Amino acid sequence: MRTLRMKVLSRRQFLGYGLLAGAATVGAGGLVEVLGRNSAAGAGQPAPSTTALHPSFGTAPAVRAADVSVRRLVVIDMAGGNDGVSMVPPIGDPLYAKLRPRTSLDPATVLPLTAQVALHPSLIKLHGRGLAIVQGVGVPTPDLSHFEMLRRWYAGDMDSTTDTLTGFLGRLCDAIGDASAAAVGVSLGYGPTPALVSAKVSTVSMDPYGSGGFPTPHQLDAGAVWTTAWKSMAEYGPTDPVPFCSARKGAAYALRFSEVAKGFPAADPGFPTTELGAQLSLAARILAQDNGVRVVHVPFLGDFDTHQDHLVRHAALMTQLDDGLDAFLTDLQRRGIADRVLVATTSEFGRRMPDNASDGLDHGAASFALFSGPVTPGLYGAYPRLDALDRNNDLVAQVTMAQYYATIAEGWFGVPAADVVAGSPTPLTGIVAS
Amino acid sequence: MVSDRALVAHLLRRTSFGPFPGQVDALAPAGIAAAIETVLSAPPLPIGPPPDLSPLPNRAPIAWWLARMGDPNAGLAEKLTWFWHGHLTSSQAKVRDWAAMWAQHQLLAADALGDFRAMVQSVTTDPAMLRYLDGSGSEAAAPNENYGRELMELFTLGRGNYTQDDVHAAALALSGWRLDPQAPGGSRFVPSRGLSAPVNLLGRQVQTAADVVNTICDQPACAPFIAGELFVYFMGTDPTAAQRQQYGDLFQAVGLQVRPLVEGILRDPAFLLARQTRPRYPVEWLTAAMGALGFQQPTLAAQLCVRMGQVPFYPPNVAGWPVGLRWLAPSFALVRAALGARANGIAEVAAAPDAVVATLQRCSIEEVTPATQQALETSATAVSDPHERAAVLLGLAVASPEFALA
Repeated sequence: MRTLRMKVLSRRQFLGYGLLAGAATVGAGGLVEVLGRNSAAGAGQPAPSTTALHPSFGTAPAVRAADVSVRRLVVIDMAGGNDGVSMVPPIGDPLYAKLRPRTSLDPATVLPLTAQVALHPSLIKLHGRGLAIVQGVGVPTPDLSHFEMLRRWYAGDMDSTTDTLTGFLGRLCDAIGDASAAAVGVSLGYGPTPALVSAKVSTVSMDPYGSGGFPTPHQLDAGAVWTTAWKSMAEYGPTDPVPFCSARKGAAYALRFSEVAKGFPAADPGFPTTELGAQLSLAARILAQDNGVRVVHVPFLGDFDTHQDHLVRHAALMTQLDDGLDAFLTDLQRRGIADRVLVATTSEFGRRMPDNASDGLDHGAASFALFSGPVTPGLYGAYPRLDALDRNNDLVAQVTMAQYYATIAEGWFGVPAADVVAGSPTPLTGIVAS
Repeated sequence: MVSDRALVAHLLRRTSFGPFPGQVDALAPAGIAAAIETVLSAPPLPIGPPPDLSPLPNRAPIAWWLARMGDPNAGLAEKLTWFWHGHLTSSQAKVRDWAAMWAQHQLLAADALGDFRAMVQSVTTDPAMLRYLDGSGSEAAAPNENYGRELMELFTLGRGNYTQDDVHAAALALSGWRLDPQAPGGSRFVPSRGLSAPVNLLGRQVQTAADVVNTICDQPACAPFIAGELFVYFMGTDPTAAQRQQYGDLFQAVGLQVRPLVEGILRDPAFLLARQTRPRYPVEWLTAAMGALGFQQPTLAAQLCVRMGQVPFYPPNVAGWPVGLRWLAPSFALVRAALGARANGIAEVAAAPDAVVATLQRCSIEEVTPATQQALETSATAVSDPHERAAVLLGLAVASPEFALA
């Protein structure tokens, strides 16, 4: 474990308290000037190369993607702000340890990717399987509020310019799904995610610890009477006041989806007993058949907001991710659907480069995302430069949210990005192994 | 013409965790205006001795709070304590100290209808909050910005009313506090870890936590922000710009005292028109449903809380629990069905000459839609045994759209 503790002066300390009026004049290279380094002398990162991947990375047999018409998507939402730099540490860059004396990873423990970049020590199984790692995913004008950034990510509105009521995943469901299906998108958890709000098709939420079946009374005569009454109380129409309509609609979808849930196959016993494990176990069962569901949103429910004690807490989350996602991919293989499920991660932001005195990391900007499943392992995008941070000392995005979403929409589902994301974002290419 | 019974039921849905059987009967005869005054003048429920505060896995405080919500004498003060818990949030998931959560609960209860500024001052150095938002141990040399940000974004001003520089300044002036079980109040300020000179926050010089809270509460944006949140809580709808201005001005004029603001909202004629405009939040629904069904089962109540995603002392994140129609999504219909399916045939309904009327009265459903009325009547005819009939009707009623709304 590293014991070197170098006191890093923050930009504001250097400028002195009470002189924040001067802070606005510090440019992007300000932090490097504070540290006294020669910022002109090639202190930045060389562009990482996918041709120099370590041979131990992605040794599992490649899976080629099935036809577009049967493809499904699982989104693992690492809400709270997953520190991408800890997940994919730039161990070849001396600035990493300098900026993070309290929270940088020991280079002796990380898993090799390239000469410059590694993978978090806990992601052992995923390292062996291989991942398509998207570096520097973020937005052009970042915001440091969880709620604002979650809203943008769920809505697929990276510049916060639209008033869309639908979510990105909801629009995707509208584009690929069957309007007569009981549900095209499912969010796991207590209550729906804004990401799955759709306009045309049905999306529902499901208790990850429930069976999805519709409860009926124990009294012997009462079952049919109960169901009949529920169905008539669940009839909704345009003349209903909005709250009544919502209440009835919720009941109607619960009834229809319960019918579908009756047909889910049994769970695979190989999942870890963590929140993520339970969610992914259910996701596999939901997607195992052709029941109309094409998108599952998995909320992870880990505490990624590591303002304190980052290293230990983040390592535990990465372990959860490695165990859970590996079990999921194994389950998909067992069920014969490994070729048709893409797993994509999201997080509303990464974390600030300099660490704080609580051994933690405050809110940041760009993070890193992972694709797994029928993908070509490697590094995509570009590693944000640690010597070219923004004015809040945060990573500058190299791949925008819109581009990331375009990659999912076009690269995986063959849906034109313009149908589901604002602007004309260019998708990344080469990720899907077809 | 809306009946006083319907208005009283609405009042109780908004100002308590009921109504419980018999309460509408007791209040309606004197009329709605008198009922509002009764609600406003009711004394707070004494807190009494603490529940078991031993460490986790002990969860007795959750059952304690749910039982308190189910007490027919719990009223406006208790409803507001719940509001503040979801607004000035701390979660046992991170705090991991029941004694600290209990102390915070008492702090919120003490000022629930009182001085907002004093409450924010207290909560800023409250041990549970210091732990929850990483204030404890924050040093001026490299301060932790969590509390400073959330204090302004979520607790007092709202987005757009401060800058990132203000967040950093607040974090600096809030630094130097740490948990200390020996200190009065459980926390203390260590001057060498705090600011040695003032910084600029929102145009004012601040150096201490008290300065930060005072500066923020003095901001013009503070009163309308808090007034707006309380408006949504009691009215069930978003305020218009005019209403936000009106209640913001009122809250400002009374020096950020909560009681006059709440009185203003409840006495507003718009309040009585805003019936069934929002979902019953999970704790409201399950408390009222279990009361209607005659269940006294703390374990079941806690399980339902978990399934509905609203557990006392465990707000899901610093923004508390969301508001809005999302509480009517399919997964909640399943939970309503699950509880309703367990209903037993209560004697007063089984023995009543008209089981449907008795069911609606027991559930305090004073305004019923034709669809629900029809579903209940059809069911009543289809089940011959009076006891079973009562069970089915009560189960359907607590799961109905009417009962799902506040």
